[in-house]
Formats: sequence, C-alpha cells, structure tokens
Amino acid sequence: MKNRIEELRKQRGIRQEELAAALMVSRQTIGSLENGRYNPSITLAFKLARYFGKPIEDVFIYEEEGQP
Amino acid sequence: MKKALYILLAAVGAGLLLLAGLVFAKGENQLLFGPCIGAGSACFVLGAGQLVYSITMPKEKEEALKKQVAVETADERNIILRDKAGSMAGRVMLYVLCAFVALLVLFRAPAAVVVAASALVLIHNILFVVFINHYNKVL
Repeated sequence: MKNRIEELRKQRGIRQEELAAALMVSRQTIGSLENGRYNPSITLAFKLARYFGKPIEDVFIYEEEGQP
Repeated sequence: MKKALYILLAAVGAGLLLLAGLVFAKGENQLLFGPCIGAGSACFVLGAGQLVYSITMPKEKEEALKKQVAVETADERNIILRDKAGSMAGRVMLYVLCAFVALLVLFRAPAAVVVAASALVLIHNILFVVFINHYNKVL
C-alpha cells in the first residue's frame, strides 16, 4: 500500500523524529512507513491521518492487486 | 529510596565477598566459598553499578531515556519484529532439535536420552497446537 506520509510531513516541515514523537512510535517505524516497507495497523493509520488533518484515504492509497 | 536499595545491595555483596575471603576460604565450610564469591560479586557489581548510574545520570536525561524505552517497547513495528523473530527462532529450533534427535539415534545414544529429546519436539508441536487454538478464540 502506498502512502503520502513523506510528502505531507515535508509539507509541514517536520522531521521524522518529531512525527514519531507526536505519534508515540519509533523513528524507524516512520522511516519504514515512508519507504513502503511496512503497512501500519488501522490505529496508527488513523493517528497519522488525524495528525495531518486529512481523511485516511488521502494519506494511504489502496490499490487492489492487478490494478494500476 | 532506590539509592538506598542499591547501597544495601552493594553492601550485601561486599559482606558476602568478605565472608568468603575471611571465613569460608579455609576450614570446614570451604564448600560455601564458591557460592559466596559468586553471589557476592553479582550483588556488589549490580548494586554499585546501579548506584553510580543513578548518581551520574541527570534526572531529565533519565526521564527522556525512560520515555524512549517505553516508546520503543510499545512500538507496533517493534512488536511485530519481536513476534516474527521469535516465531522464526522457534521454527529453526525445531529443525535443530530434529537434527539433534537424528544424531542421537545415529550415535546409538541411550534410549532414555533419545526419548527425552524426542519429547522436546513433541512438546514444541503440542504447544504450537495449543497456542493456535488459543489465539483462534482470542483474535
């Protein structure tokens, strides 16, 4: 699943460490999320969406397999 | 409060070391020399180490460190990493145990030893089924 976390974070001019501290997760988790290596739990996905003040669909892009 | 505990622990350790050196080094109770040295060293090093750490570490830094450890422990990715690593280690251990049992049979080890080692493989599989059933109900 793709996401716009890095883009939204950079728009706000915050560092990974700051985002991690705000969401009470490790910096490595933010890094893995941004790289697309790790898909978050639904709780963390909502926390991220609320942090950026956007609906969850605007932060995470769900693509069904086989679809572009 | 914690500092007093560390001082007490270090004192107990030092006491045990002294006891070992002065009383149990020679004579009838020489059997107690080893355990006294071991337990005394552990208590002394643990107590003194924690005491030095609590004195030298600034309060704010200690709080920040505690918070960081709490975040790292509760971090969902770290939890998944721990679970995956534990599961993989368990799977590898099963193969190691099977190889160990095969080696025991190959080298004609006593039957009791082979049965005991095989029991470990069996216990592993029983635990696997038990936990699958448990999590099947819980999750």
